[in-house]
Amino acid sequence: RAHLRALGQTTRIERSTVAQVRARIAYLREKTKEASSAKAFDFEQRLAEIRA
Amino acid sequence: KEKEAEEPDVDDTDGLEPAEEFDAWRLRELARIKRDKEVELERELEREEVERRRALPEEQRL
Amino acid sequence: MANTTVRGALAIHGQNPQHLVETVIRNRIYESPYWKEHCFALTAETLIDKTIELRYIGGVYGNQKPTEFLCLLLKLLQIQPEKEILLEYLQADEFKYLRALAAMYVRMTFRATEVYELLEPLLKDFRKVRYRGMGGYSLTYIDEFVDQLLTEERVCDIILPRVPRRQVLEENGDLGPRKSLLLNAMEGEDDTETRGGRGDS
Repeated sequence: RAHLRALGQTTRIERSTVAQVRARIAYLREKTKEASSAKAFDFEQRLAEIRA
Repeated sequence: KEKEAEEPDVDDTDGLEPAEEFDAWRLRELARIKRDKEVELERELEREEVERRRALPEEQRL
Repeated sequence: MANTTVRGALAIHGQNPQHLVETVIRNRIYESPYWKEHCFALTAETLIDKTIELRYIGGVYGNQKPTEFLCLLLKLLQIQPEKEILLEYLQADEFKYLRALAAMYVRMTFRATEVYELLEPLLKDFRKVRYRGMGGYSLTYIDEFVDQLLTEERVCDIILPRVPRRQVLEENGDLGPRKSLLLNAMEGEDDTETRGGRGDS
């Protein structure tokens, strides 16, 4: 703690805002898009099949 | 220092067999619905029993 | 070290939120390399990156080692992000381990009615999740994990705060009846006695 202060850093952690969180998720979403495209599975359609 | 074998031996990849995965979910969901219903029924029976005992005259209750 | 709860944090269930993780496990976490090396100075934003890298959920394993999942859970309790942020975590569809972590946190810290309202919709999420426990790895699913959160007292070696049973909240009028997507679909097909029984084999 003391050494961080000495380096001029605070030990107090910044609070993220909702907007920052949203942006981060959007960014990560783009980044992993290709990887998760296999997961394009239609839940609604399955349920509809039960109904049929 | 302790370097353990970290490699998981269980696959968590989704969508390998979509139909089976959905079907397995359906069975889990049914089991939950059934369980919840049974719990509800049991509570209902308990309540009825309490009511019934309350309705009895004092000497019979003891 | 920097293990104090964020300034201005609200007490949860009448205590410091970090104390929702019992002392023995909490100390194990503070001592773990993952906590020291990866959780230091995480924010609600940077924690997302760590969480989506998770490969399993779980409590402690091996020689009482805490999982990274548990470390990040304690971090959340420490930094206490706004409710809206937790909702973003839950809704971030493609990140199942983020969803699992958020669900656990919601269960531990939110009001009972919110717990049901937010977690029950996740019972339709049947994605696979790895669980690491004393006996090694096993397979579970988001829906199964969420069901445990809603019905069991202890999940991932954490004793969950008490939450009234759903029926009690319903009887008090605090909560509407649960809507099962599956039940709705089946009743769409046939309105008579199909509840629970059909396709059960």
